[in-house]
Order: sequence, then C-alpha cells, then structure tokens
Amino acid sequence: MKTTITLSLALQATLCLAQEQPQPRTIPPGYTVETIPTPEGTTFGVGGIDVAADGTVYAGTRFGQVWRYRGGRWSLFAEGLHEITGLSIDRKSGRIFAMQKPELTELIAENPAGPATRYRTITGAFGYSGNYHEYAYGPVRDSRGNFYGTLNLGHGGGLSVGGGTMSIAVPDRGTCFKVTPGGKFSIFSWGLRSPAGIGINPATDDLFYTDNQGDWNASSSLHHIKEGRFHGHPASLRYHPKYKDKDLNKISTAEYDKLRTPPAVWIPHGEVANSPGNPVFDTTGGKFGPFAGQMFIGDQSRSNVFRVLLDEVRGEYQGAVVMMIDHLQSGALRLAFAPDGSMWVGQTSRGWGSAGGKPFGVQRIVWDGATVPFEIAGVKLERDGFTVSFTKPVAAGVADAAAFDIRHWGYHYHSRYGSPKVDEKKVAAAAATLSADRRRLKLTLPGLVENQVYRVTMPTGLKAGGDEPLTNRSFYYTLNRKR
Amino acid sequence: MRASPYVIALALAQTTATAAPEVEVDIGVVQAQLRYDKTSFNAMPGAKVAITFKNDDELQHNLIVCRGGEGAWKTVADAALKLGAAGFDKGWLPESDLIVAATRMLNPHEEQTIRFTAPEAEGIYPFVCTFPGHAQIMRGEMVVSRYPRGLGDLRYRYYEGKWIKLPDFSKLQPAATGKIEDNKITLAPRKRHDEFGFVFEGSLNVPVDGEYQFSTSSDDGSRLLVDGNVVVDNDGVHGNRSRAGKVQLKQGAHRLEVQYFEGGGGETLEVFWAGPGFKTEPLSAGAAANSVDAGEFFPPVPGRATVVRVRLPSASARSMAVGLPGGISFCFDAETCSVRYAWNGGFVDVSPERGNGKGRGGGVCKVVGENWKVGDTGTPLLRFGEGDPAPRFAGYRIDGDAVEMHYQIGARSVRQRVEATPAGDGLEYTFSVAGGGPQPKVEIKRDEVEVEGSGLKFTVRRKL
Repeated sequence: MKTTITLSLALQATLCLAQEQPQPRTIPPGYTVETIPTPEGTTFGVGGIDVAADGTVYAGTRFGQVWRYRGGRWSLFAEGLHEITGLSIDRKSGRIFAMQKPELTELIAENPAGPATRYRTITGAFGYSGNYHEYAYGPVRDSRGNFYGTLNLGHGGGLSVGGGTMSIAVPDRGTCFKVTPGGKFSIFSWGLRSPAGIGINPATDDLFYTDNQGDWNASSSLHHIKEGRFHGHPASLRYHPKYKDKDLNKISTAEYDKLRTPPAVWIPHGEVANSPGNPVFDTTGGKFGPFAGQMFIGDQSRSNVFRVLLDEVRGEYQGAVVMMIDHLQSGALRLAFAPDGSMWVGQTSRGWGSAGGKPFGVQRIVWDGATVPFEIAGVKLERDGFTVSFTKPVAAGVADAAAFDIRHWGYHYHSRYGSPKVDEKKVAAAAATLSADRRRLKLTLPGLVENQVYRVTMPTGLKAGGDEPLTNRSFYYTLNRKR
Repeated sequence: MRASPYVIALALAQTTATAAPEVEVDIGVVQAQLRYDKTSFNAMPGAKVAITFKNDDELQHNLIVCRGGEGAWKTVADAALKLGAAGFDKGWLPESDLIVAATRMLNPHEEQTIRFTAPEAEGIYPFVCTFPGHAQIMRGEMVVSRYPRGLGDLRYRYYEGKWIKLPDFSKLQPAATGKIEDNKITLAPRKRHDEFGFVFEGSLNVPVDGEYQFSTSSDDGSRLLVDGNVVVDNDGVHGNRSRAGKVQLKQGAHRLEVQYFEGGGGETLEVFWAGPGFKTEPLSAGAAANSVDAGEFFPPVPGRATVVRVRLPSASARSMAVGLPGGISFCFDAETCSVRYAWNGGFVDVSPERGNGKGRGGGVCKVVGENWKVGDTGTPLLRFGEGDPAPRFAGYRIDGDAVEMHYQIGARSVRQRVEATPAGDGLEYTFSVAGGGPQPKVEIKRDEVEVEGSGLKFTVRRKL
C-alpha cells in the first residue's frame, strides 16, 4: 500500500519535470528549449536534420538511419546508410538528400506513405579511402539547384604538411565540392581541414563552412566559400592541378599565407566554440524573434548556439560572434529552421564528447512570439570604431566609455595545432555615444588594427527599460580589413 | 600436515572413475550470432550423455558431436558442404566415421534431445553446426575426462592486518577458517572492509594435458599458485587490476592457492582460468564468464532484402553488406560495381563501424558466416566490349526479398537484380540494360562458382 503511494508520487514528480523541461543556463527571455524524446532503444546521434514544408522533420543518424517525425511520433524512413552527416530537404519538391561517408544520395519512397525503397546516388565521385575522419558534410543547394558539400581530411595515413595532424591519402579531401543538377562533380574550393558544417544564405547564394581548430587552423572558424579559394590547410593541394607535382612540405608557410583567404569570422576556441556545426540563416521572417536574416551556428563540444553578425567591408565578409544559448543537453552539431519558425537542434556527442553530457538527442528552440529579449542585434565596423545595435532601446549604462571591456588579439598561421592569442591588448573606447532612438551605440576606437579579433564586453550596468540586462554581453568581431 | 597433490589426485580418480553418471546438458543458440550459448561441458568416459539442443534462432541449426581431436569439426563440416544441394534433404549430416552423435537440422524454435554414450577415450570432442557457413563460428567442445573440470574442496583462511604487499600468511594466525560450499572463491567471509587478507586453497581438476591460463583481477594485491608454483603475481597496493600467467598442466587434480589482501578503499577479487576446450571461466563468485564484447548485429537476420553500407573485409571503403532472406548475404562494392563475395549464416557485426556507440568508429565490420567466392573479377559481370569505361555506381532499390543494384557503364544503365536461390545456396542474377550497343558478355571466374542459366539471367552457387 505504502509502496503504491510512493510510486504514484514519484510518477507525478516525473510528469511535472517533463512539463517544465530543464532550460539551458543561458537563454534569452522569450525563448524555451523543448526536448523531443527520441525513439526508445535507438542510438540517435544526429548527423543531419531538416524540416519539410509540411513541418515533417527528418533526422539522419550517425548509425545510418533516417527517422521521420510528425504528429509527435517518429517512424523509420531509411536505414543502412554509412554514417549520415548531413540531410537536406527541398522545400518545394520534397526531395530528400542524405550525405553519407562514401556518397551523396537521394532517398526515394516509391510509395510516398512508406519508407525509402530507392537510394539514388547523386555523386560518389570523390576520393574516400575509409579513414574514419574522412567525413562528408552537406549538402546545401543554391538557387540553381547545384549541390555543395565538404570533404574532411583524413587523420593518420597519407601525406601531412609541416608535421600537421591531418593528412590526405586520396584526391578531393580537404575541399568543398559542387555537383550540378545533372550530376557533374567538381572541386569548388580548397584548403579545408576538418569542417563539420556547410551553410548557404538563400537570399544571396553565399556559401559558408565552419572549420575546427587544429593544424594550420588557429581556432574554430567560419569561412566564406568562393570558387577557387584556398582556405588555409595545405594538405588538399596534393591533388590540386597547380601543386600536384610540388613537394608541399617545401613550400613556406609565408607562401601558403599569401595564397589563403583567412576565415571571415574567428569563433574563438574555448570561449565560444570548439567544434562548430552548420551555419543556418534565419529565414523565418521574424517568427524566431528579432534576429531575422542572421546566421546561427551550434557547437558539438560546447553544446551551445551562437549568432554570427556578418558585416561586409570592401567586398568581403567579416563580422562578429555573439553567444545565444548555452548549454543544450548534448552536442549541438546540426541546426535547421522549421516553417513554424522554431529551430531544431540535432545532437551528438560521440567521438569527441560534449559539455551537454547526453550522448545524443533532439531539441527544439521556440520563441514565444512576443517577448523581445535585450540582445545585441548587430555590429558594424566604422572607420573609427564599432556601431552596436540593440534589440530594444538602451535605458542606462552607457555613460562611462571606460566601462566597456575591449581587447584585441591575433592568431598564428602555422602547422602547429591551434594558436594561442597573440599580443592580446586591452584598449579603451574614446567615447560611447547613443543614437537618438537609443538603439544604436557608437564605440569610438581610434587606431583599429587589421587581422585582429576584437572582444567587446558591455558593462553590466547597460540595461534596457525595466532594468533588463543583456543576456549575452560580449561580441567577438573579426577585423580582417578596415572600412 | 597437508595431503600431497598426488594423494588427492589418486583419491579423486578412485571416486570418480568408478561412477559414470548421466550428463544432462542444455544447449541453446545466441540469437543471430551463430554461436551456441554453451561452448563446453564435461563428461566422464562412458557416461550416458543427453544433450537437449534448443534452436531459438531465426536460422536452421544442428549440433554434431565429433571424434578425432580438436580439429575434427572441420573435417565433418567440409564433408557436409560437399553434399551440395542434397545437403538440404540430408539436414547437412554427412556420412562420416567421425560423428559420435547428431541432431537433425532444427528449424527455428525447434528442440531435440539426443542421447549417446561418451567415448571411453579421454580427450576433446568438438561439436559443430554443419549448416553451410556456420561451422567456422558455431562450435563447442565436449571434454571427456575422469577429471571433470572445476574447483573442489575449497577452503579459506581469513586474516586481519595492515599490509602494503602480500605477507607470508603461513607465519600468521588466521582470524577465521572455513569451507566454501559452492567452491567459488569469494571475499564474503570477511569481517571488515579494510585491512584483511585471505588464503584460498582447493583442488583443481584439470581435464586434459595442456597449457592453462590463469588470471586474477584484484584490489589490492593477489597471487595465484598451482601446486605451490606462482602462476599469477598481482601483488601490491592498486586499484582493480588484472594480471595473467600460463602454466603447462597434466591431467588430474592440482592444488590451487590464491592469496589476497586488502589495504583500504574498494576490495575486489576475481579469478579466471582458460585452457584446452574452454574459454575463460570464473573460479570466483560473481565474476562474469566469457565477458566477450557482444557486438552489434544489424539487423540480426534479414527478413527482407537489407542493405547496410559499412566497410567490409576485402572490398573498397564504398562497400555494402546486402542480406537476403534465408541467411545468405553478399558484399557489393560500389567502386567495382560487382558482388565481391557471399556468405551463409548470419549477417554483419557493425560494432567496428559504430565504435561500440562511444568511439569514433569507422572500422572494418565483421561478416557473420563463412565467405565463399562468387567468381568476381573486380569488374561488373557484364562486359560490352574491350575497353569498357570504369563503372559508376548509381544506387540501389529494395524490392521485397530482392535488391536491384544500379550502375552505369558508359552510356549504358545496368540494373542487376539479386535474389537468393530458393534453397539459399546461391544468388540469382537478372540483368536489364538500357542504352543500346552490343550484347554484353558475362565475365565470371567459372572455376570459382557453379553457374546455371545464361544470357542476362543466371544463378551462381558455391563451388564445393
């Protein structure tokens, strides 16, 4: 008798907990995280996630399954793929594409109500030796229907450059590739190390990928992909038409430095992210809050979500990183926006661990549609400083320019694993000036230096009306070039 | 005074050799792994043996007990294979002098009890499943010996004291002594959790001459002696740590002694042994026997055509395991666009790919069964002329019990449908070609397979 009562109480407690789900320690007001239960008994490490026009969610797992989620239930859609690391749904046609280690594949359900029965190869034209680290990520598609994806270098075996940890054994590794709608494969850009996510701005067709800190890459980073670019890791050049006959170990670092396009935005290692995933653009038209058009990235290791505020300066993207939500339950490798404006987060910790702690999972971030959090909305580089815009008017805390903590540093470009901050300096703003509508703050900084990351932390006293503090007070602006 | 090992052995021999009790053994099947759930048992010479074999698997299995030494199973299994298609009618039971006893071929969820008299000659009598593809994995051993394997007459001496390594217990006064009824080494008689020690002594029956391995896993120190000689030295203050040692032993009873001490903190003692005819078995209570990585089997046994893309042995990284109903599977390589080999039995252990759920994985997976050659030349089976361009894999389609592999050879689109033969002993290929050009020829190593049929529809069977 007594046992029964205790059990039912325990059950009630469990139900209460389920309703009030645990929230990350940092999350802006108006946002909540929902944890979506994954199928029982299934190792659900998400490598790819996307949402169809009708709201059906497709999640591809690293164990090669694709699950379909609708009406609050999961059903198995496809299986037997070779580590799914990307999944994309064409919102118009409903076609489903999965990236697996050996190829990019279209999954076709000949009976639309049933599971996939036809697995059509879009491309398997790239080199793949079977090294565990030869991940393939993507695809994303541009407005013409071209596919893009990235191909990691291997780890161990093959050629490494400058004693680096990553190596190349077969062609095409360390590149971004393109496949035309007709199936023609080509290398689009070079010099990638260990990317874990590719994204495209649907408004502009601008392509981006994130890379991981390591040899030849000082910190986690966001790169703007353009055809023919070399992003900095020399190993892929082993099969580049111009370099294939050269000894890559005899080319100087200075020469590689001249060839490379540096990251558009550094994602400072350890402070913001350690293993960033795919960039997504907020195309919800405001359904996800006051960040329409901005870029969001999740991180496996840190299990967080941060925003990237791009700033075009003399024809090149650079910009700032601002934390948003920290931590989620597991490694936030994959983000996807649903038509209802919510953001789905596909999670995995396998292989590298995550601060979130859970081995895998799916969560969904929802904005309540009303609460405007007090956040940094944008950062623009000026000739003599930065203009920071906010999601709502600043009520107090900008009077003292010295209260802004401003530091900047550089990074080494070298074959060694990662880089410390180089020549970190603390600088003072000459002035902090608020616009008439109190939404824009000009921080005057004489003597801006190129090829630096500027970290600006707002004073704790900087508040919106109702004494509301900023949820995230810092931005990290990568200043590659001055305006 | 202590009885010499020789005296103990003689005494045991006298008491055990006269009686030959009936041995009743239940043997089941580990689902989808092509393994018996019991891989070793003892019988006295001339004992009446009853084996109840329960086939709780989704595949057919039998159990044949063989004579002729540890390797006799292979002779019998090979003879079964040579039955060819007739093997199905005969339950894959060959005519052989080496068969002591055999079940019929059991369908899934059937069971059968066989009764026979154990041979008088002591030794190892392997048992095996002779369904094609199973024998390499699905085996066990009946050990016929007057010395049924195991520990008997186990006694302990319990000591209290503070040590940083094993003391000379013979110079110390035990705080307690006793007999352990179930003959499993255990720390249960301890009276406190720190600063104590044990000496366990018992008579260990060794069924046949051979090399035996012993190991202890202990926190803190332990030492294992056989007939007074140290075999495992795991002394010192440490967390749970395993050490092993090997020793040649003659058939008969031997004196086993295990010394142990605990300083502070956690306390553990596990003792194992292994030898001819049996894998690691515990001599201590609570220790897990045969703690072998279970593997991950995906799916255990395909009920319909199933494709699993993983790395496989003897194929490129773009290979896939294709399982067909009836327990026949094959490796298709998307680089060569050809079937590389086939196997009968289970399907595929994908744990190396998955890093057992924790590691980064990406390893070459294990085929569950025995490979057989399919006549692969490393190129597609169809040749349209000299200098065909390299094939390009275009995907596959799952159609119930069949799978259709798609690839391009130049302008030609080839669809290769693969089904299991009704008897499950081969693969039926049906090709369709679009894109015109000359009639293709079939390129296959005919010395490796039996080919039946012609043109764009034919069957390949394992050559026996």
